[in-house]
Order: sequence, then structure tokens, then C-alpha cells
Amino acid sequence: MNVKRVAILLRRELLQGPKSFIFLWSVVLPIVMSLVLSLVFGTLFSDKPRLGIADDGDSELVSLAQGSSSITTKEYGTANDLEEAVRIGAVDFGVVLPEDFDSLVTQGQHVEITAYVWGESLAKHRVIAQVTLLDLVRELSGREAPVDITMNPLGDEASIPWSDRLLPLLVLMAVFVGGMFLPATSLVTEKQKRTLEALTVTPTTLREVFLAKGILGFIISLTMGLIILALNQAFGAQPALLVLMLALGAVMAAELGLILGSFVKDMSSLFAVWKFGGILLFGPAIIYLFPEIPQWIGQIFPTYYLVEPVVRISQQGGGWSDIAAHVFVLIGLDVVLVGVVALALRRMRRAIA
Amino acid sequence: MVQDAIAVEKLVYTYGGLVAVDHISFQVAEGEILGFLGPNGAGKTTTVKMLTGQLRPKRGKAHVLGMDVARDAGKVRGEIGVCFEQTNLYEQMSALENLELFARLFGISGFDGNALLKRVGLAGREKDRVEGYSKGMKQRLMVARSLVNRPRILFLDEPTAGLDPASAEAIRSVILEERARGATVFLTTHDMMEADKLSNRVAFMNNGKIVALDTPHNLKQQYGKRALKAKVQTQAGELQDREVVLDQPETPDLVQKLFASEKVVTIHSEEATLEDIFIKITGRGLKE
Amino acid sequence: MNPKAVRALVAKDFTLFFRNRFFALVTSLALVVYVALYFVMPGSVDETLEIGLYAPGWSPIAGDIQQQGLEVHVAESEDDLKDGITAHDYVAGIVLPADMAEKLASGQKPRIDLYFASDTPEEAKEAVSSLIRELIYAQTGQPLAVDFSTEVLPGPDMAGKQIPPRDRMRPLFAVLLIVFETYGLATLITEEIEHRTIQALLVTPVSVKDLFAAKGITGITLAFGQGALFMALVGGLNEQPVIVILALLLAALLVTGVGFLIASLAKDMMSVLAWGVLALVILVIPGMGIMFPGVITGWAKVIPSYYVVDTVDRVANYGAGWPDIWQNLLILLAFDVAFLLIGMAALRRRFQ
Repeated sequence: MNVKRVAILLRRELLQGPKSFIFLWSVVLPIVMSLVLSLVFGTLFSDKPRLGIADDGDSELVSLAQGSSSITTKEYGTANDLEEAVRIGAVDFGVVLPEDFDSLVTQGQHVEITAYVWGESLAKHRVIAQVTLLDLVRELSGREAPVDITMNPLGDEASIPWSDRLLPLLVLMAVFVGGMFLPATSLVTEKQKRTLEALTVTPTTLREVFLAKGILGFIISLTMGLIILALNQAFGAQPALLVLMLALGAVMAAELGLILGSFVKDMSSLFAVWKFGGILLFGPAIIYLFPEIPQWIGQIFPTYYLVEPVVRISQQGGGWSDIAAHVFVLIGLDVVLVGVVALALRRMRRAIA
Repeated sequence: MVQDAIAVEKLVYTYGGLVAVDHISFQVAEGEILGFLGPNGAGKTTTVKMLTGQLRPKRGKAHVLGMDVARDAGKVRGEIGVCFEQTNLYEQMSALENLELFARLFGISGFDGNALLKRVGLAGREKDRVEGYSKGMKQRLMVARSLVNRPRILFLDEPTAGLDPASAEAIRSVILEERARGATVFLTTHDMMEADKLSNRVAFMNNGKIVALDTPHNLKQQYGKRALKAKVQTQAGELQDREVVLDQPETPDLVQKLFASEKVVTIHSEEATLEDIFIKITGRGLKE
Repeated sequence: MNPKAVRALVAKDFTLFFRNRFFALVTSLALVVYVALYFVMPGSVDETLEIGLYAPGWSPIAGDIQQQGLEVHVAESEDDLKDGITAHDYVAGIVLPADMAEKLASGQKPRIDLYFASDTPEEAKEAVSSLIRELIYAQTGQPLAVDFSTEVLPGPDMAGKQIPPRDRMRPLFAVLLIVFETYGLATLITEEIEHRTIQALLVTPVSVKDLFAAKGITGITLAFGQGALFMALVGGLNEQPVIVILALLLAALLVTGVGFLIASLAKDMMSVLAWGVLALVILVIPGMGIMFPGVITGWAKVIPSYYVVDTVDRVANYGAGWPDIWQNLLILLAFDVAFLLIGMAALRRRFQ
């Protein structure tokens, strides 16, 4: 193994890389998805009932509702807009407040409110929305609640907001899109164009070629993982541990990329693997998004052992003791994959000879 | 009157501002082998593409078997076979599958692919996937594919380029068999020896124009010089070349002087090659 | 057009497809995984807020609270209540003190303990607090002078008969399977161009029309086949199968046109991937509208796949019939024709 030759090969990959679509795709896609998913869709996964208000007057109820943590409130300019919003399911429950609503309420007079209910809204959301609305109206009327309520949490687990539930998906995308597909497409292209043969009739060995491509995948993978964590402010209190996890994940990504590139004959097969393999890779993250899916299923997927420690460190303030077992499993998987890469290398050597 | 297999009149093709084929005219009789020679970029492939219906002429006319290539391209394609310079086989399929596919496309029933493969020397490898074939085998299969429909005209583009002598000879035999069958062969090649051996007539193309068109013999007569080439041994024991041009008034005296003054080791007559003739006509080599 | 030639070309494409066993296996596995994903997703909707109640001497209050969307579990003791919460049997637990009635009557504020698991979302805690307050107001004879005159839109009312998440996802999965075949078709064509086998075909009696017909049939069969099989396996053809099948067929036609367009634009397989990703993202957007109602409004109707997703969703999940969706199918057909014509025109220029 000649380190200088590996460096030369790596330099070529890094210089040529930005000219290829896959390189740009692997850098741009995770960042764009991170922004889109976090900024736009994070709120959409929320389980809060959605209340719509069309206020003909200037009622304080609107600001009270918007300040409530039990519902998401949207204000609409007209009753027609509100009705349309309910019709398409943008809100679960919509109310039209008459012009003099506040004064009627404070004077204790009877008020009839037009309410629209989205037909597909969950029953519990309707209950919560109505009850919360009534509670807010009471607050508006200036009346004090006749009871004191004491909150008593039980257990240690914290509630995970939806924006946090997206983190595993973003991390996996960042680590695996580039880290895996760059070495894979590079190898497949070199096989198709026969440049691999041209390389291996020089002092360069196939092992050096593999190593250069693997290092490329590792660098991209680790870099994108760190960028995504930074974008989502998810480093937590143990950044060094996170970097370790990302590094181990980047190794896995690069190894999978080399294996894929060795076994797959052409680009169409690579696309087929992408179609199917994406589910295998992102399985744990998808399961994490939907708590109603039994979470133990995630443990079947190898990427679980990357994603779970990342979540524990960045979102749950975990430390070494919380992730040690996962780290050793991930190291074990990486070691096993080294063996598979070695097999792939041998196979490829025979194919070229 | 026997119609020409190919009749081309003032044919023109341009790629943007570049005139690739510049008002060429020629005819090829049925059953004739025409060698089409010229360096890279001369316009040979463009001419072939027009004759096979792949490109539409910008100006001029081209008739293949009496059919206008621009108007009746579909009918023309039913009567021709084309062997391309670069291999374009379905590599995931076997040789037999490749041939059978094309037979079906030509609407041929009862096609015997095995017999055709045997003819080109691929017997025993019919069911192997093409991706495992050597270059020579792939080229033989390319030729075989061009014969699937027993074409009346065969367009062969560099059929023996880069092949081992055995494969090249196998393909030449097939070409001669096809001529014997009555097919017309339009042979594009850089290999002047091959053109010389196989062609009834050769056409030289340069910079989009046909600069010469005749039998190899006539071209050599017209442009070439016959000469005696001798190897003589000097007093120092070295071998040196000597040349005496034949058919000149002074030739007998020169020959007598050669034998009188030098120790002649070998002597033989030689005629000009087509390459020599091409260089003489155009000022450039065939392989530029 | 030469039907025999077209048949030969289609047979060739399918031979090549299955000859690459890895490719064929992975494509089949993708279908299996989608079906598995469907069955893993919840098959029912939990639309009830479950609350525990320990109210010694106030048992009838459980009946006052109970309503559609709210289920009350009466606990025998406060410890039982806490156990129920830590076991996630209910979201929150309310303890009403035994002396609450006396305190309320004397104008005092009784203390009510509200227990919840530490990972309960904030909104659930606040909602239950609001519920308790309203409950007590009602119990103390202080109803609010506010009435709601309620109308359910767009109707019918689905409370109690909600569509399970996995059935909601069905149209999206089917469309995903179909849309992915834009890659398949585009790569089939681009490979032929890259390997120059297109040239070999075009010097035979095969015309460009024959080529298009063959590629189109291959593309449609692959796309439609997967989409239809998926829907059949997940019960998506139980309602109005003819309409669903027709919608999927039109979707397959659409992706064939898109596949032609991609093949005309792509220089090589990498660019197929680039254009394919763009097409995929655009065509999948309407499917996201099913997952997030109200997010994607009028503008999604310019995306052709909207009409597939909307049709399949309304038919399979809401029992829509021909009168409800014929316009969708007509618009989809128009898009199909447009994309096929544009795709073929662009690809013809590439071949020639």
C-alpha cells in the first residue's frame, strides 16, 4: 500500500468530484431537505388540533388562542376564507366571531358562534379545540377558575417535539447520500469506461483505488453529518461523542458504497438499489417519526445503531454510558463490512484480470 | 438495362457551416464491391449514413436499388445490411438472440441463426452472452447481423479494423461469398491492401469530394510507377536498397549497369500501392 | 407501424430487464417493501383522548365527562391511577379530592392533582387542564353563555370512522411506485443511445414510431404493473376497481411521456438521475397533500399527478364514483397526451 498513490487518487477524486452531478446532489440534497423538512414540515407533523378564527371585530380571543399551547391557531380575514380552510382540512375547527364578541362575553350575554368542523378531524381534536376555546372565553370574560390545578409529571422521559423527530432522517440522509453514492457511482463509472483496468496496469493496486474512493466517501459523509447537526443546532452537550458516532457512520456509508460499486454492473442497477435501498437505510428514521409504529422494529436496521446514539446525545442529553452498547455494535458492523469489502475487492480483481 | 445498385448525383451534406460531403456523384453496379477510401473526416461515414437513410441529404439525389433514399428510406432499409464501425450489440443477450431479434424485425420467418453463426465462425458460442466475446468475435457477429435479411446491398464500415489475421480473413471470405451471391458491397476502409484485394473499384474521398474512382489496376496504371526494387551488398557487407523505374527508355541500361556494378542479393518488381496513389493525388496519407 | 416489429422490441426489452437478475430482484423487492410498509403502518386511528380519573365520591362525574373523543377510565385508587399513566394506558390522570364539593360550596378553591407521563406533549397537558376547568364550571352551575352552531365540512362526518394512516398513504405509495419508473424507462432509452444499439435498430425496417410504441408499452407495463399489483395487495381495488385501474393506467402513460422527455434531455445515466430526481420530487408533491391536508391547495392542480392521487384517494378512501372523478380522468388524459407528444417530439430529434 503506497500512501502517496492513494493521496494522488484521492486528489483526482476531489478535483473531478464537483464536476459530477452526484457530488453536488450529495452535498445539496441533505441541506435542502434539512431546511425544507425542518422549517416547513416540522410543524405539519404536530398532533395539536388546529383552530381557525375569522374575527369580524377585533377580539382579544385571537391573541389568547394564539398564545395557547394546546392548539395551533390561524386567523382568517373572512368567514368564507375560514370555511374554505375547514373544507380542505387546513384547520380542524373554525369559528366566526361576531363583531361585538368581547363586549358580549364580558357582559355575560348570550353569544351564538358559527363553527365549522372539518369532517376528517379527529374526535379528540374537536373536543380539545372546543374545550380550549371555552376556557379562553372564560379567561376573556375575566372570571377566575374555581379550582387550582397542580401538574405532576411521572417518569423521566421527555416529550419530543416533531421538529426533533426529523433529526434522525436528516442525519441519515446527510451521512449516506453522499458517503455511499459517491464511491458507488465512481466505481461503476470506472468499470464501465474501463479506466480501472488502465489504473491497475500501473503500480497502482486495486486496494489503493478502493481506499481513495472510500476516503472520499468518508470525508463527504462526515462533513455533511456535521453540517446537518450544526444547521439543526443539535450538537448537545457531548459534541466529541457525536463526532465519533458520525465518523463510525461515515465509515459504514463508505464501505456500503464500495460494496455496492463492486457488485453492481451498471447505472440502472445502481438506480434500482437506490429505489429499494433507501427504505433499508432510512427505516429507523421513518419509524422514529411515527411513534405509533412499534419502535423495536428499528433495531433490525443497521443504521439504527448510528441514529439512536445521535438522538440520545443530541436530544436527550445522553453520555457514553447511554450509547456504549450501540457504539460497539456499530463498530462490529463496520468491521464485518470491512470483510465484505475485502471480498468485493478480490472479486473485482478477478473480474479485471 | 441493368439498374445501378447505388446511384448518387451531386450529393451534399453539411454540419452547420462545415461541408462534409461536397457534390459527390458516382454509381455502383449490382454485384460490385466498391472500396470507399479516405482519411478520417473525409466524409465517408456521412456518405454511408445518407445512403442507409440515417441522414437526409441536404442537396442532390441518392438512389439505392432504384429507390430514393430520402423518400423511401423505410423500403431501402428492408433491402440493405449495415455493419457499423463501432460495435452496437445487445451485450446481455446471446449471439443467437441478437440475430433472432433482427430477423424478427426484418419479418423473416424460419430464420436459421445457427447456420449464419457457423458461417462467420461462431459455431459453438451461439448461446453465450455477447459481453463475454472477444473483439474479433463481436465483429464477426456484427457482420453476421448485417446478413440476417440476405441484403441486396451490404454496407460495411471498417469490418476488419483491429482484428487478428484469422478473424479478418474470415470476414473477407464472407464478403467474397456475398459478392458471389450477387450482393453489392459498399466497403469503407482504411486498409488499402484489403480494398485492393477485394474491391472491383475503389473511390478515394478527401475533404468531402471524390478525387478518384476506378479499378485498383487502372489507378495504379494511371498514377503509380512500376519499379524494380533490389537489395545490394556493399563492400563493407551492408545491405542497401536500389530502385530502377520500369517502362522508361533508359530502363534496360540501368538494369544492366546495376548488375554490372553491384552485388545484387535480391531483386523484384513492385507496383505502387493505393496509399502511394492517394498521397500522390491528395498530398496526404490514408491514415491521417 | 409494424406490430410484429413492436412485439419483437417489447420482447427484447423485457428479456433484457429480467436478464439483469439483480435489477429485476431489487425492483421486485421494492414492491414487497412498500407492501410491508403498508401493513406495518397503523390500521386504525386513535381519535380518543384517554384520561384516568380518581374521584372518590364523585363517580357519576365520569359520565358527565365522557363524550365522543374522550374516554374516561375510573381508577380504584390514586396509585392505580399513577400506574395507569406510567403504563401509558391514558394520557393524563385527574384526582378530584373527596372534599371538593364542600370547598366549592364554601367558595374555596379545591386543589386538583393532574398526573401525566413526563413525555406527554405540552398541548395534551394544557387541554386536560382546560377540560377540568370547564368541567368544574359546569358542575358549579356556571355554564358559559356561548353556543356553537356547528356545521361539518365538507361532509360526511368521519368521526368514529376515520381513514387509517396506512390507507391514506396508499395513493402516495402507488404513485411513488409508478413515478419511479420514469427512471426505468429513461434508462432503457438512454442505454440504447449510449451503446448505439438505437442506430442498429434504425437501419432496419423499424421506424421511430415502432421504437416509441415499443418503449411506451414497456414503460407502461412496468409502471402500471407495479402500481396495480400494489393496490391489489393492499385492498386498494376493493372500491370501484375499474376507476382505480384506469387512473393508474393513465398515471403510467404520464410517466412514460415524462420518461421520454428525460431520455431526450439526458446525456448519460448520471443526467438521467439528475432529471429523474427533479421529476420525482415534482410528481410526488400532490401525494404529500394527502398526508398534510390543507398544505397544498390550488397550485398543486398544475401538477399532473394530482389528478391520479386525488382520484385514487377519493375512490379508495371515500367511495367516490364516476360522477365525482370523471373530470380528473379527463384532465389526466389531456396531460398524458401532452407529455407523450412533447416527449416523443423531443426524443425523435435526439434519434435523428
